[in-house]
Amino acid sequence: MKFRIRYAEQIVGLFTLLAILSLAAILIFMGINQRWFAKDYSFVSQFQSGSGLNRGMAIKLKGFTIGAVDKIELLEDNTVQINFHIFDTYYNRVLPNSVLQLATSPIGIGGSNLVFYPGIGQGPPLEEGAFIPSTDFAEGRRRLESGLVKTDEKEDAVSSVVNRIGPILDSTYKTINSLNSAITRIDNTLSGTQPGPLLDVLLQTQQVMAQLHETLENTSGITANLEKTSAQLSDTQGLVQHLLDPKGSVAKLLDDDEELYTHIQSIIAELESSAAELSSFAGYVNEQQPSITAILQEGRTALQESQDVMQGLQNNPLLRRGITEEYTSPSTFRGMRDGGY
Amino acid sequence: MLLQRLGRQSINSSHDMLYGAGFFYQSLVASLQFMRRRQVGRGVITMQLLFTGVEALSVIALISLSLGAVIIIQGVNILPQFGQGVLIYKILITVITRELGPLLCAFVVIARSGTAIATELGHMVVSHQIEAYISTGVNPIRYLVAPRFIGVTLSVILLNLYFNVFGLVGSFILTQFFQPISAFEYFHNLLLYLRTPDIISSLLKSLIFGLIISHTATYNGLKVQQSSTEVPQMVIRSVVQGFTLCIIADAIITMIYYI
Repeated sequence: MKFRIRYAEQIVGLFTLLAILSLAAILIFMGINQRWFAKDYSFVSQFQSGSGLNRGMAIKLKGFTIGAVDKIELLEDNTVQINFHIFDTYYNRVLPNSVLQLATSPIGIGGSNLVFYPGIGQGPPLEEGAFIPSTDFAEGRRRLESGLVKTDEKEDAVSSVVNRIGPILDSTYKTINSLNSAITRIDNTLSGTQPGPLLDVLLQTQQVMAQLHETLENTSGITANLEKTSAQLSDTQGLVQHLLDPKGSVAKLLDDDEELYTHIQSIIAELESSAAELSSFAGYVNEQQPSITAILQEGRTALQESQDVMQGLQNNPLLRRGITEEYTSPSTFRGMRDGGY
Repeated sequence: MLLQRLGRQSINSSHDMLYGAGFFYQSLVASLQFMRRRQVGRGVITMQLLFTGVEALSVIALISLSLGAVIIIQGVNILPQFGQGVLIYKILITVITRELGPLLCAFVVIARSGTAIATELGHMVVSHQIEAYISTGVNPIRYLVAPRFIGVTLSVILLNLYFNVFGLVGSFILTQFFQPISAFEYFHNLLLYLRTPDIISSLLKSLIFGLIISHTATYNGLKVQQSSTEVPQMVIRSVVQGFTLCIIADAIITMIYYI
């Protein structure tokens, strides 16, 4: 008989026993590893959003898992409440002022971490069921910023950035939202779609500005005159002295029994007669200009001919090389007679 | 004509299903009574466990070791690049424990034992052994079906446990030759991510797959009428029904798990 058939019952018994033992061993180790029989302490926290949170999510302290999330629920005010437990071995770290922070990777990979920051508080650990604020809310941020919690000082740079960028991004997001809202309101007010005191003020300002523009145009002429006068008045040796000196020309002009006035008037009359004579002389010269021009042209021709004679005499074969042939070039001067006659 | 044929087929299918359900009920009752009464067929259970369970262990071990090692090596190389190294444990548990473990065990048992049971019972019908049992007052369901029913179901459950052990533990040992990883870290994380619902789901699937395989094999085996040429047809039918019903049951249980 084959060994298997002969010892079938033993083999099957061993086969079954080993399987059951394996299952039992797995369950025991699971129980130990997952702390089935250990005492856990439950606490409550609150977050703005449930994204990144999930049931069974580990709560970490300096990289160690100290607890896990048991329950997540959306409250009436649209905030998220979580119930979580802390292992009994780490219960003494749950001191007053402790804070929870959901650290999410800003680049989208690496998942989220629920980080526990123990408070720097005096006294016994918080009672089971106590509320531990998260950094999603003002109280948690206040504790973190005012140094009421022990933060990870020696964590790596990336984790530090990841842990801190969450609240910064939240704040930035809120600021952007507020700015957006404010800009929308201003835009609505300026476009007139939203009634308010600012629109009335702006309309009145527009009218005032139009009136002011007209006033300024008038004022600019006055200002120019004033500027000129002011420049003359600023010279102490000039107009001012003449105006103020009792022996000055102004005073004399004003108080000399019209002597200066008469004298000036006679000068003006003489100047007027001289100007008339000059005018008649100019007319005469203008009339004689063609004759003068012709005389000058004739004189010039005579001089040219005399020059030829002199050169002919110089170049005479009897005397020397004779007379050079003359190339007449047109005169650049064209008198009134050349054109008109 | 077409309607008539369609109607006839529907009536036959319904009749077949009702008959199958009745057979399943009888088998289940007989199996429960068999456990309580400790009848003479205990040796049949032992032999069934030996043939279906022990002898399939080598195949199961090979499949689970290979599958587990591939998952670990791929996961260790790829997942840490995305900062998701711990996902390897979830993937191992999902693939080995929850999904492929029970299903591959079922497939192996269908291929090895389901066919053997259907063939054996079919030939017993053809050779009038069943009629002989009935004529001597022995209930063939109690004597022939119940021990196979229990044996196959227990075998699938036990093989699934071994599949998990080899897939999760053995593959780790195998991986050490290619890519050593910390044993403490591996088992610590594995046991941390392995949850009771995963084990319950896996065992539940094994139980249901075992029931399906044993039922389809015995039902189709005993469905042979008189000719030996019907035997391979019924064997093929039992294999196809076994695969189909196992996959449908797997889908249903997985959906229930996530509800």
